This record gives sequence, structure tokens and C-alpha cells, in this order.
Amino acid sequence: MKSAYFLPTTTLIGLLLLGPLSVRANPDWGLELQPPHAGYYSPSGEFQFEIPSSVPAQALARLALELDQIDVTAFVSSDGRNAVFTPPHPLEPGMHQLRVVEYAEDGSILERGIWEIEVRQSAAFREAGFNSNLGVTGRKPVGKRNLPDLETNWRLQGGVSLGGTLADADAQAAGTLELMNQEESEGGKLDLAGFHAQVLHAQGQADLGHHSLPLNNLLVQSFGRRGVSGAWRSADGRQALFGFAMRTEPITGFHHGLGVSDPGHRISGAWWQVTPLADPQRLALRVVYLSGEGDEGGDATIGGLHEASGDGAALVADSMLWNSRLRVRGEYATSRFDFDGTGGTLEGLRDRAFGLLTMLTSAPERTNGMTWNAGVELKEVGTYFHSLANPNLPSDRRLIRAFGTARWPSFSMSAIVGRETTNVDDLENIPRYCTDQLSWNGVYVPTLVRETPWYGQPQFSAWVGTTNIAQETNPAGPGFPEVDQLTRSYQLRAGFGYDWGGWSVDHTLSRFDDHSGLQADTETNSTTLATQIRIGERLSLGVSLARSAIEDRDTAMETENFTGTLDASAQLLPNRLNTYIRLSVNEDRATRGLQNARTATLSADLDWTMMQEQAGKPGLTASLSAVYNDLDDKLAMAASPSTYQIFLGLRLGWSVNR
Amino acid sequence: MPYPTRTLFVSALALAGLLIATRAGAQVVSLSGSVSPDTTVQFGSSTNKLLTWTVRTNTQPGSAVTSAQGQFRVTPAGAVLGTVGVPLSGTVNQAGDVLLLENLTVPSSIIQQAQQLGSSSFVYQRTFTDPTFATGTTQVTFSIQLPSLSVSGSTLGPAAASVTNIATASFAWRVESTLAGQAVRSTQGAFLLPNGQPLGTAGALLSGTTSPAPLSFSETLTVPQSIAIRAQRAGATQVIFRRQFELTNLGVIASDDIPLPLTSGIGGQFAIHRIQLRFEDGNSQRVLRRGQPLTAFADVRFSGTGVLQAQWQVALPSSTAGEPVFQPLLTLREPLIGGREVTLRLPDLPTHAPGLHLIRLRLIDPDGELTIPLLRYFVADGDAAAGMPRMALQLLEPQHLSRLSNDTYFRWHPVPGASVYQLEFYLLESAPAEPRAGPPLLNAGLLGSGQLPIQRLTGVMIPPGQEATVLSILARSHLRSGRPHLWRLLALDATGKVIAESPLREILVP
Repeated sequence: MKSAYFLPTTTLIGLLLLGPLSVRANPDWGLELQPPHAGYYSPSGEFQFEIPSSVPAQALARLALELDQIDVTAFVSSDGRNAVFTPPHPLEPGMHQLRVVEYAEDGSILERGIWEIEVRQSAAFREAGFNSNLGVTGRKPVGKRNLPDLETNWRLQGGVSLGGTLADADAQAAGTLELMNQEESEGGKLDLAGFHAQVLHAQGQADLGHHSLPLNNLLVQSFGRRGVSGAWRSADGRQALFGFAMRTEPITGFHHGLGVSDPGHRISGAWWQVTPLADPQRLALRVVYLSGEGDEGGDATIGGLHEASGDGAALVADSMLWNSRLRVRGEYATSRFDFDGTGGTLEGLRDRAFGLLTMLTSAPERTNGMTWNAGVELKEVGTYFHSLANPNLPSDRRLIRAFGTARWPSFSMSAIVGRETTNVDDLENIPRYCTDQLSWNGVYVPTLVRETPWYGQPQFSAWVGTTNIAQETNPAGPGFPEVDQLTRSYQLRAGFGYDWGGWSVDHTLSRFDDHSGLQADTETNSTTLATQIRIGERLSLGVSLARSAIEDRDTAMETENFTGTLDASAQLLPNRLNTYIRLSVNEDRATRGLQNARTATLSADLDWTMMQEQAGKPGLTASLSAVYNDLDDKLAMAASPSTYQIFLGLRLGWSVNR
Repeated sequence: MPYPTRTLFVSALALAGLLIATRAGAQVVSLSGSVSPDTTVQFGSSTNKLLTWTVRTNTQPGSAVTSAQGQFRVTPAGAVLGTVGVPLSGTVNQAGDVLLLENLTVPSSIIQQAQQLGSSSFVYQRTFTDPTFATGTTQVTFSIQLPSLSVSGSTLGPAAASVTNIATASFAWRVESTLAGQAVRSTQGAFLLPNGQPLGTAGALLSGTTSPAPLSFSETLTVPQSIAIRAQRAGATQVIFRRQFELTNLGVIASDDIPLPLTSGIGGQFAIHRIQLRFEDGNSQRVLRRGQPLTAFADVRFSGTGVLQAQWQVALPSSTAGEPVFQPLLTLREPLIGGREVTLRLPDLPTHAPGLHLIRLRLIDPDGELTIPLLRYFVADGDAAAGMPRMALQLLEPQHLSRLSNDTYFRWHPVPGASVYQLEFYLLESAPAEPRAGPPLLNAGLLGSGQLPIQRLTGVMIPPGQEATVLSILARSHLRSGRPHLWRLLALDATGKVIAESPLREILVP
């Protein structure tokens, strides 16, 4: 490396000034970024800066360079007239920002140059990449016991993921496709596991396939399905319009195409968002509308799926005020929902929901070693408010809660206290429940002096939570006992980290008291001891021991589960011989001899790499795998014989990344 | 016999025959029958009855009145069900009456035949003849008394109908009959409003055979949300679940009602109604590289309050080519409170072995009737070292939750093969925590997974061979005073691949 006129990071201690740092533009001089020799910046290329002759030597010693806000000054060399930044590894194709600053003597930062650069893979495209990852495994049983139905033929399993990217200055297209062999359930056909294609333009975006909607509100929450969506953004970035049509239910496979052809299983909608003020953080408004039909439920729903339909609209306002210390978020939504679907006897029921969140964070200048935030949240969801794109939202709830977090060096804690009531629509013929919640958690990490002690880097945490449910009204009459339940939970955890891994132990106690006498009072105790050990580069071990017990305190009946697992991965011969072993033991017991069963399973794989997969060339691996399973159920009428199955296999792996 | 004598004898016989024929068409004066103690007979059992027959004739006292046999008929002129071959005879008294007593056994088969013909009664008929060959027929009528059937239903644990979600209810039925050995059944139950207006049907066939001891049935079924909503809209405070039981072929029915109070999810039985297993992208199938991190999620919708007992299990490639053998990954004992939806998370799925993996969530309690589809992922082959856990980069200082100051040194143990170290800082966005959030999850694997509300603010690239640094002014200028930040250190090779990473630590920026 040439003599470093750029100031090494380690010499900056004296210049480090805490508190607000000002950045000033100084027009008197600046560095010039030289154009790339090839006509474009390549991922492995260097960046050369021309330093004007008028720059004083003292100023050169105070220069620093950052790439995408990462300080890379240590990788800049200079001969006094030119400076060269040599990235320590290839840069990702795409837009990057380079910025040269000078540390002024008064502690401020003077910007001496800033550039938006495009790293391209070729002159034709900024990025043109393709990657595939193929795996095909053929296995043949060569040994078995007590498995009469196990076929002895070769069985093929496989999967492939394909991905591609094509990008240039103002447009980008990317796609992924995953295919899986479904032999064991569907006759061995290759089927579609998932796909997603995305096209980006300066002001537009389109998505096809499996993707999630970038919305989190009362109508749409974590909603990811197969479908299509599109977006348009105004040139100034202050307005955006989105539209989507997605399958109501999760689907896989080639059937259903894009997932939007069946109106009986489709959710469609649009939203418009605008930031009306100059500072977009001060106010962001969003209006959402959606309508859909489909199966209300999921993959596994008691009583089967049933058709439902509905629509809804929402208005969301989000604002950061007071130097971003105060956040205020309000939301109002309405829905109309046919709970028994089209053609049912129930008409579409309308209801509404709203939420208000305010949160304040501590003032930067008054921290004194402690920072905090606190807030209040109010949320009410009507009895019949429902959205197919947010099926997990509990309806008929009015929540008001306060929360706060405080942090000191080595210690942090947070607490929540809240009350939730039901029957928010004041219906005379359904009861009202009141749920009081309180939780607190704290984390303590002792400050260590320099070296890690023998017991490692400890971390301790505790959590306490109580929930009390009481019934306030009972319109069905005194013949029905009123709900009166109290749940208290406590958790303690200790973890210890080393450079070779770590270990942890935790215990959770949970007590449930039903004062109405309808349900049994229970006490649950769970203890887990886990460790992860890495020995050198070739051996990894993981051990976990867990015991949990539930005691019915009314009957003194206890059920107990013990699980122990050992995982081992080892490269016996680097890049040649690998093994994976998993041993697990599961025991279930109950008092009075009502349950007593133990299952032990040992699975092992031994892989011999005949041809190492590398640089786009396929690899071939021979494998020997075996599973031994033993079930000892002392209450079973007939003994369950232990089984094993042994397979010989050949595996083809082929990854291409261009 | 000489001819004249024979002729006289034949003539006398003919005259006698004529007389008999003439008398045979005559009727006795009156007939009647009575039964003691009553005329009812129990279906399903033979019954003894004492019958009293009274016959009045015009014949001389002391003469005999006889009846050869009795007959069971549906009606006096109806089909014959059976005969009793015991003859009856008596002597006419001074008043011209004959009193005959008969100890009759009514076979259960006769009662059954009559009932099967749709009749609730039948007759026992006798024809009497006096010495003058006058005849008369009379009968007694028996009423068939069918067996009784009684049903009582109750809930097993709390039960309710929820207007906000599907509810589960368990019922116990106790069925008693006075007649043992009879088939009894209930095809299905019905949801009703308290005024009897039907709302829907539910439940499967319940059947059995009566015995001296009461029959017991139990069932667990779902109460659809739409049923509860319709009841609520009709102004009811409860939904009735009715089961009608029937003694098969007897038409004997009995029913009982179980009221279910309306609720909105919190009350009622603890039950799991829906479980959706998914990966982070919402899909249930994935193809991935060896060593690629993968997390499974289970969205669980439940009603009531209780402790969920379940176990995440995996079938590794060593068995999925044959008979899948599932091994435990994580046993859950999760208190679920107040009827809502929770998301269970299973991090760090095994991706070190190439091949097909199957993931399932085995419900232990409540077990319910859910059949939960499997998650499937295929780990394609690749670099065997990628299957090893990523090397931990051991940090020396500053400690977790330290306060950034002028002399805060970031120090670490060197990593062999590292071409560059990258110190990264993230802004931890403040957000209201969930009530059961528990201790903070400071897991570097959460970066980029969307699990933490964070964004990378800045960082420093450090050459290999250097094992400590302070934060440059330039990097420091990007941090937000008074806001919590997370930081970590990565070691990268010459291709930019991460070969070691430290855990996330939080630092306070004054």
C-alpha cells in the first residue's frame, strides 16, 4: 500500500468528538473521481481520485472515504496527487455512493466530494446474472428391518432453484423459480414450490408469483401469497399508487398459474400513499381498499374450510415529530364481511376498527447513560370486523396499554401493562370479558475486563408475565359459570458465550388458576440445557436436553416429557468424506402409569465426494445413510418392533453462478 | 245290517245332521271377556294375563260350553298373528252362564309382530260353542306398551358458541331405556335458537345397543361462527344443541338440549382451530443451499385458555427416501391465553445434510382432529463446509449495552483467512413489544429476516491483521444520538463471503 495520506482510522481518536457532528460543504476545493478505464466501473475495479495541487498536505492527512456509508479509509492509498480506493472484495453491481470528507480542526466534517456511481458487470448491462442450484439424489434401500412396505427400488428426489437478474440504469428484472420432486406423495412428478419475478423501473414496479404485500395495518398484515402486484411512484417520491390481486389461500404447484384466475379465491385491492409535507417523516398518509373471496381458514382448519367474502377500506396516518422523538400513528378501517360466504343466509356485516399509537423517546442531550422510550397504544377492533388479508387479527377487542423500555450500560428492561375488553359493540346478548396483562423483562450482561473469563461471556435474562381474565357480564344467565382465570409465567435464562460456541440454560414456570372451577388448575415447568460446540473447522456438535412437565393441580396428575438430542457434523476428510449424525431420545410419562413411552432414533449419513462441485462444474457424491428407530411403549398391547433402514445413494449437485 | 234297518239309521243321521246344521248357525246369547290386571303388554317381553270369559247360552244348566283354541289378531277381523292351542270348557250354571278362566301367556313375538305391522294394539280372540252348536266369538284387546327412552346431555368442560371464531365443544350423552338389547341411534345433532328455530346441523352418527346400564356417548364438534352470529343477530343469548335418539324400528324417540352461551372467543373450551405451517415467505416448500438459514412458523388460532403441548419434528434425508422417521426438534409447552392467534417460531432448521427434509408439528394436547400438512424443503448439494455452522467471531469489547464514548475500543479475536473485517451498526427502531416478547432476541440471524425492526446505518472496513479499532468520526456521524443501536463484526474472505460473524450487541449512543 502506498503512503497513506488518508487518515488511518486508529489515529482519529483525538478528533473524535461526541455529540452532534456538523457536516459542511466547502466549495474551495474538492477531489475528482476519475472515469473508469473500461468505460464503466466493474465489481473488482479500483477507484482513482485526482487531488488538486492546491490541497495542503495537512488537509490530505484529514481525508476520509466512505462507500455506502461504510468507512473504507483504510483501503485508500495515495501518492499525494492521486488517491486510489481498492475494495477488499468485489462490489455488488448496482448504484453505490462514494463520499470523501475532511475532518476539520473544529470537529466538523467538510464534504470534499460525493459521487453516485454505477458498478456494472458489462457494458451492455449493469447486472446480468444467473444462478442455479440443482440437487438430485437417488437412493436404494440395501437393508431394512420390520418395514415390509419399504420398496427396494431406486427412488429419486430432487430440487432445483433458478434465479436471474437483468439490470441497467433505470430498469431491473429479477426472478426466482423453485422446483421440487414430490415423489413420496404425488407419484414422483416435478412440481412448482414457488416462484417470484420482479420488474423495477424508475417509477414503477411489478411483481408476479409468491411475494408479500408491503403493508402492515388493520386490513393487511404480513400477507404473502401467489399473485400479481404493481406500483407507480411519482417523480418526486411523494406519491405512490399500488394495486394487487392475490390468491386468498397459500398454494403451491403449477396449477392455478399466477393464482388470480379464480375470482372465488382472490383478493384484489389498491392503496395510495402520499407525504403532503416537505419532510416526509412529518406526515405520511395511506388509503387502502381491498375486496376478496376465498376459503377462510388455512391448511388445517377444524370443520374444514368455508367460503367467505368481504371488502374493506382503511386510512392510515403516520407522523414523526419533535426531532423524531415523538411518533404518532392513527388508523381507521371499516370492513363488510359475509361470514357464511356468497349465497349464505347472513348478510354482509359491517364493522370498524381503529388504532392510535403514541411513543416518545428520550432526549439525546439528557441521557446520562440511560435511554428510554415509552408509549401508549389504543386499539379497538369491532365484533364483526374481519379482513381476508389479515385473518389473524382478533376481532371484538378493545386494547389500551402502556409500554416502556429503559437501557443502562449492561442492563435493559422493558415493561407492558394493558387492559383488553371484549364486546366492544355493546351487544346486549354476548358477555364482556376483561383481560389485564402485565409483563416485565430484563437483560443483564456483566461488563467484563478485557479478556473473556473461563465461564465465557455471560448474559442473564428474566421475564415475568401475568394475565388475568374476568367476566364482567353474563347475559346467558347464572346457569353458566363466569370465566375467572389467572395465568402467571416466569422465565430465567443464563447463557455463556465462547469463541468455540456457547451454552445456555433456561427454566420457565407457568401457573394457571381457574377460579370458576371449569378447568383444571395447572403448573408447567420447562427446563432446557443446550450447548453448541465447534471444534476447529471440521467438527461441530450440538447437544440439547429438555424436560417439561405439566401438573394438573386438581388431580395431582402429571405428564412429563424429556427430549435429548445430539447433532454432529464432521468433515472426516476435507472436501472428501463428511458425516452427519443425529441422535434423539423422546420420553413421555404420566403419573399413575397412564403413559410411559420412549422413542430413540439414530440417523447417520456418510458422504464420499467422488467429484467436488466447483466453479459451475457438477459434483457427484456417494452416500450411505441409515436410520434406526426404537419405540418402547410400555402400555401398548403389542410391542412395537424396532426398525432400521439403510440406503445407498448417489447425489448430483450442480450450482451455477454467472 | 239289513237294508230297512240301515235305511232308518241313515235317515236318523241325516235328521241329526240337519238339526246340527240348523243349530250351528245359531248364536249364543252373549259373550264377553276381561283381562286382569290390565290390558297392556310390554314390548319386548312375554306377558302373563288372567283372562275371564263369560258366555250366556239358552242351553240347559249343566251342559258344557267349549272353545278349541284362541287366536291373536291385529284386529278382530284382521290377520292372524298366532294361535293358542289350549282348549277351554265350562258348565252352564242355573242362570245360563258359563264362567271360564284362562291363564294366557302373550308371547313377545306376537307383540313384536303387531308393532311391526304398525299397530299399537292387538286382540286375543276365542270362539265358544254350546251343546246346541250355537257359537259365538269374542275377544279382548291388548294395548302394546313400548319401552321408554330417556336422554340427558351435558358438556365436558366449558363450552360456548363464539361470534368471533369457530368454537369447539365436547358433549356427553347418557341414554337409558327400559328395554335392553335394542338398537339405539342418533344420526346427527342440530343447532337451534332457544325458540326452536333451526340454525344448522352437526355431529356424526352415534349408535349402540341398550343394556340394563345406561349407554354413554361423547363427541367433540365445532360450532361454526356463522351459527353463533345468527343467534346473536336473532337476539338470543345462547345456542341450543339438540340430539334426538331413537330406538331403531320402534319409533321411540327422546332428545335433550344442551345450551351453549354466546361468547366472543375468550370463554369456552380450549381448542386449536387452525394451524398453518409456513416458511418466512409464506410458502410451504423451499429449495435452498446447504447451510442456508431457514425458519419455520406455525400460525395457530385457538379459543379458550390452556397449555398447548406440541412438538416440532423433522424427518431427515436419511429416512425420507424410505419410511419417514420423525425426530424431535423442539417440545412446546406454551400457555395460550384468551382465544386469539399466535405465531410459533422454529428457528435454525437443519440444513447441513443434502436431500429432502419434512417438518411437522405434532399436536399432543389439545389433540383435536387437525391433519396438519407438512413443510418440505430440499437442500441441494454444495460446499460441505457450508453445512457447518458459521464460525463465531469472538468479541472482546465493548460489552453488550455499553455506552459509546471517546475511548470505546472495538476489539476481537482474529479470524484466520479473513481478508477484511466489517464493523456494522444498525438502528434499532423502537416499537411496542408484544406482551410475551420475552428477552430480546439478539441473534445475528435475525438481520435481514424481517424479525427485527432495524436498518444498517454505517460501518467501518478494517484490514486483516488489525484486531481493534475505534469508531471513526465519519462513521460516528451517521449514528443517531439517544437512540439504541445494534452492532456486530463480520469477517469476509477475498470474494466477499462471510466466514465468521459475531453476535449482535447493543450500544448506547449519547
